[in-house]
Amino acid sequence: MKRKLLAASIAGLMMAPAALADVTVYGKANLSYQQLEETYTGAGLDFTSQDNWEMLSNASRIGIKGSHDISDTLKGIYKIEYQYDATGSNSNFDSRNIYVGLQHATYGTLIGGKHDTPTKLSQGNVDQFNDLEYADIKNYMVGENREDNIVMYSTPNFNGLSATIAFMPGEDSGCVNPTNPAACSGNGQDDNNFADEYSVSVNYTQKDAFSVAIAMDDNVENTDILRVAGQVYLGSVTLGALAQEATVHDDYSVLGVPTAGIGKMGGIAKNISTDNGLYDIASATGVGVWNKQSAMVVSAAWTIDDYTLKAQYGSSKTSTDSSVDPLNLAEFEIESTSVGVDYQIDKYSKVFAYYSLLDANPDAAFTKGTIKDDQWQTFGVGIEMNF
Amino acid sequence: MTYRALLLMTSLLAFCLPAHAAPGDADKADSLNFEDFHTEQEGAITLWDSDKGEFGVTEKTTTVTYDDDAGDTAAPTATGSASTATPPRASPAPQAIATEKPGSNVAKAEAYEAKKTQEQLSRGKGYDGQRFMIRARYAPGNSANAQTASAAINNLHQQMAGHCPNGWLKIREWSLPVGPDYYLHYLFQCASPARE
Repeated sequence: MKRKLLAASIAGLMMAPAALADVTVYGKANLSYQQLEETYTGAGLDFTSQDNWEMLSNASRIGIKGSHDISDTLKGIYKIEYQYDATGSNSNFDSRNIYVGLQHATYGTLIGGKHDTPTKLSQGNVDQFNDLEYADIKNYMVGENREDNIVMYSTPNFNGLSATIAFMPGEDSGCVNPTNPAACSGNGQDDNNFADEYSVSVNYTQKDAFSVAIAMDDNVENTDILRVAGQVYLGSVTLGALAQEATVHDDYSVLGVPTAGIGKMGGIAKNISTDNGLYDIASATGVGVWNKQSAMVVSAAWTIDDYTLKAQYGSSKTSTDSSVDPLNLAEFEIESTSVGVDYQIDKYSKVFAYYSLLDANPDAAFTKGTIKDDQWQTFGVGIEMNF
Repeated sequence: MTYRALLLMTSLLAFCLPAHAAPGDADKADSLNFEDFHTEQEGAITLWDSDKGEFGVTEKTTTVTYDDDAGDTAAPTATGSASTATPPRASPAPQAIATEKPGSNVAKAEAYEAKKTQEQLSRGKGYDGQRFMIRARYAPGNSANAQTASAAINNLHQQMAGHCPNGWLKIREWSLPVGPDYYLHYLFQCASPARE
């Protein structure tokens, strides 16, 4: 029903009378053809789980945006953006950032809907391999979240300085049943308040010189994060760096795991996915009780005429602390190394090639000597076209 | 209409658009700079043009031919627009040329004459060329610094003829005070070169 309403809304936008504001469509298609190889090594566990060629759609998307002037200084804004699979393997459209809001020339922008958190966007373009399979920082770093039910306020740009704050209700039911506590589902945090989750970032950009951001999450996907990111522009060379510390929000949840009610302390998280910064090494080890993570990324891009050479290294160390594991033995480290080159055909299109190695190393004590090493190697060529 | 059919239609429409697009929009969509994202981008694909009150896939970019601070009655300057087949006749020393969204101009609210525009549109199909914003200084009465209103209009028409040798659609006009005088602004769009 919701989808029908959405369809009707979009159709309404496109067939509205003359009073309607501008409607603009935009998007991009990004396809890559790549070789994937995943290998495990360990005591009695040496095997290759994947070694093939695939075509992948890398966050191809289409969006509609618009605005209309309410007064000289205030305008209404909206955006509807969906991700599609340009390979045809998946016929679904997945919602990306979708919002409606108000934008004031002096007081900033207020939106509501679904959106990347300020913490996620604070990285700017540090991630030179954003959206690429096994190379995107989301494979090994928590905090790359796009949240439903988000309210976000962004200040105007004050000579390069801006700030954004977002909050979300936890939407726990508020159910209280002393005689049968099990009747009340949820993650145990009783997040039934006006705003239970926050994400904040402060950004400063000096055009053509540098940009820097500091951001924090509080209880977003049960995780608290402090992130610092920046880029320096040295002519044709761009250098980037990011560092962050993350901890589980409280004793009832698991780092980076969005679904309520799973992965409680001592339990097993079964639906850790590839998109939450833990990768499936966490579930492969069979425990999945992670409650802190340190992560960093450094990147460089060098533009020579129509070519851009790119390199990136990132790592994260995810672990339990003594409250979970008195011996503090459990941890695993993931390293990601990527290199690539883009060739800009014109201002709308580019082709690219890249190689990425994602290497996960659990500590021997934690994994009981089973999995020692888990590697994903990717080599791909692709094309991206903007419209 | 089903959800998928609608999105398919939208996708097809997007891919059927002219070659010119706003390549930065997809990337700007993934940023916190809402102000920039919701400012008309050069070459943006506009499905609904609120200035003209018209459906159509247009590249809605306006070339402004004057400096904000210039107190002149400028003749047209060359813009290099691909849509303008013939350069303006008079080409004095080029002034700073900016590109801006007409809707962001503070004068928009003062000047919009929707009814008149609609009347013009009823006979104005085919005006798909480059869009310009020009102005000329005038004084309602006697002034040592400015020409008369009729002279200003004449000046603006000379500029329009220079920019749009195939004709034009005047989308909007408005005046803004400057000292004791006024600037008369015209926002107009050239007829497509193939128009007869």
